[in-house]
Amino acid sequence: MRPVIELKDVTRSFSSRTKPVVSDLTMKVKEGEVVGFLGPNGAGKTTTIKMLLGFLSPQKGAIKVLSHPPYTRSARQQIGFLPETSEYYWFLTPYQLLKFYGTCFDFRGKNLDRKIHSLLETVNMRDYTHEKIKNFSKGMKQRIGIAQALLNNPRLLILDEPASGLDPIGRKEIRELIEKCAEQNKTIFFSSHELGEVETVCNRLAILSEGELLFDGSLEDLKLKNKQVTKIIVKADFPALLKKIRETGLREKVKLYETPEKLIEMDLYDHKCFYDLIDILKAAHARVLYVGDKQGSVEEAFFQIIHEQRNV
Amino acid sequence: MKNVCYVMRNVLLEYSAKKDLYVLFFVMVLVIFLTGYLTVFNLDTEAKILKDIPLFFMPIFSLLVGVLTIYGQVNNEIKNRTLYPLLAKPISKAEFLLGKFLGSVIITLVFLYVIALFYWLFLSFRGLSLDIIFVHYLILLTVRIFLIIAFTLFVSVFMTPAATFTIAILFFLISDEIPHTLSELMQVPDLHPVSDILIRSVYLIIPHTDIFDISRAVIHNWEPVPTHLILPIVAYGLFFTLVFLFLGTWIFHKKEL
Repeated sequence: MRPVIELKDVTRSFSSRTKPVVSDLTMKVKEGEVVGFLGPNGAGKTTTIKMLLGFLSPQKGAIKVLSHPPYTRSARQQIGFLPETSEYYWFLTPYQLLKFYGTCFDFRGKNLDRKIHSLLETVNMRDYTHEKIKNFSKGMKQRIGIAQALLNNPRLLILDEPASGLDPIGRKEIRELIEKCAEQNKTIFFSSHELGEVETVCNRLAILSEGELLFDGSLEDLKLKNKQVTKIIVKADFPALLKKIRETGLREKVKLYETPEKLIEMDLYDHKCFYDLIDILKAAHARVLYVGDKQGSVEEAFFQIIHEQRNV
Repeated sequence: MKNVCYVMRNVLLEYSAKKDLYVLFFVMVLVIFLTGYLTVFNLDTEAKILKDIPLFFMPIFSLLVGVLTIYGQVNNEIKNRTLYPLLAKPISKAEFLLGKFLGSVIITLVFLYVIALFYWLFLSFRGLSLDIIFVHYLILLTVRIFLIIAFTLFVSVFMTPAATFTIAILFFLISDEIPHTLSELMQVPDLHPVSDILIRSVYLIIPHTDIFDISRAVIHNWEPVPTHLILPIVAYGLFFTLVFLFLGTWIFHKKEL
């Protein structure tokens, strides 16, 4: 089976003097996969999505979407896209907007009308069918965005930060919708910097930072990667210990926080620094209560991967 | 073509929801009616003034409507991010631009023809008639509207809205004079050969918009322009319109979003 998305050595920069925004990105997405495209702000996620949609061209490498170059009609016919900020024509109603978009897909007549009403029902916007979009809240616009992305019953759904700026209810609705689409065997590729959102719905993760693909695999693979985190619990004076850690330059490698029981929990992300940390603890007269490997969360694994790359 | 029609329909819906053009329309109607209050002792002169003043403002207001409705269309779609969900669908950039062009043309022509109707009613009320030359005037103004809208659209695909607006207004204000100035320059004796070639090339390349203005003929009730003269002028205007549309589409096609 041919992959739905194929990126091969894709490189894109906006200036010859700066580092590429996306650098030698290679990945394949198979039919039915739900891929979370993770990365901090400025990692190159939106640029990658723009290239997948043909809005930007790669300077190096090749992209195929549904076996076609991304800017072709054949590819777009089968793609649903939800942009990061859902803004639509303020002077139209959801019905008029979806009718306009539906026409682009060659849908017409009663068939299109049925589709529009059913989609507005799905996104809980049926009561606002003939209201002007200018009066809608951000969440309502996002729902309209989802409806337009699903209008052509796409094989591939590309969502750019679908939950950004939404309240918890809105986020939950988005999550449920992604799950529903996944059940219909649609391929979903969505970018996010919200790790919790990705953890619950994806069966594959790709982590991008500073334009480089740092991780590509399942959630389980990511959690396994996190085994290298060492958890240390000590009793010590928190400000004094924090000061010492900062002075020795270990701050980047250790995450520490004080528990309500006045104990200090530390996550050490770099094994090589273990003995340096022990020396600091000795100097701070800390009493070590626990040392052990930690089965971390996806969030911690994410931070670790990003952190390792930045240190390199 | 249906994609083009829907983009065009959106432009019409957008401007019917905005107030800007209604203001321009009422100002123009006001100008026509206020002209009627100008009293001049000589009846012949009064008839000329009644025709002259509205005819002076009619192209200005119409072309201003054309520029206003088109200059920010592309940039606003990018700024408001409405372009991305649209272009992710099977619609080409050419269809998008053509729809914008046609939408703006229809709004401007509706504005022009309604104003022309008011003008005609006003003159009839004052016992003055308009000859067939006025229809020719409207045909040529229509072509000029096509041209300025296509030019503004072309500039808007690679310039900011403010720069586009300024260039379009400058084009409208000085385009009638440029051919005259160039033709005078070509008469200068001992012109450097390079300058001479340059001036002649520019003279040939730029659209001579002055040929679309026959307002003098309307004021003085001249004989109708023969068809064999009108048609080449219309074809000339349409040719430049197509050139600007083609260039605009080509640049927009290459433009990264």
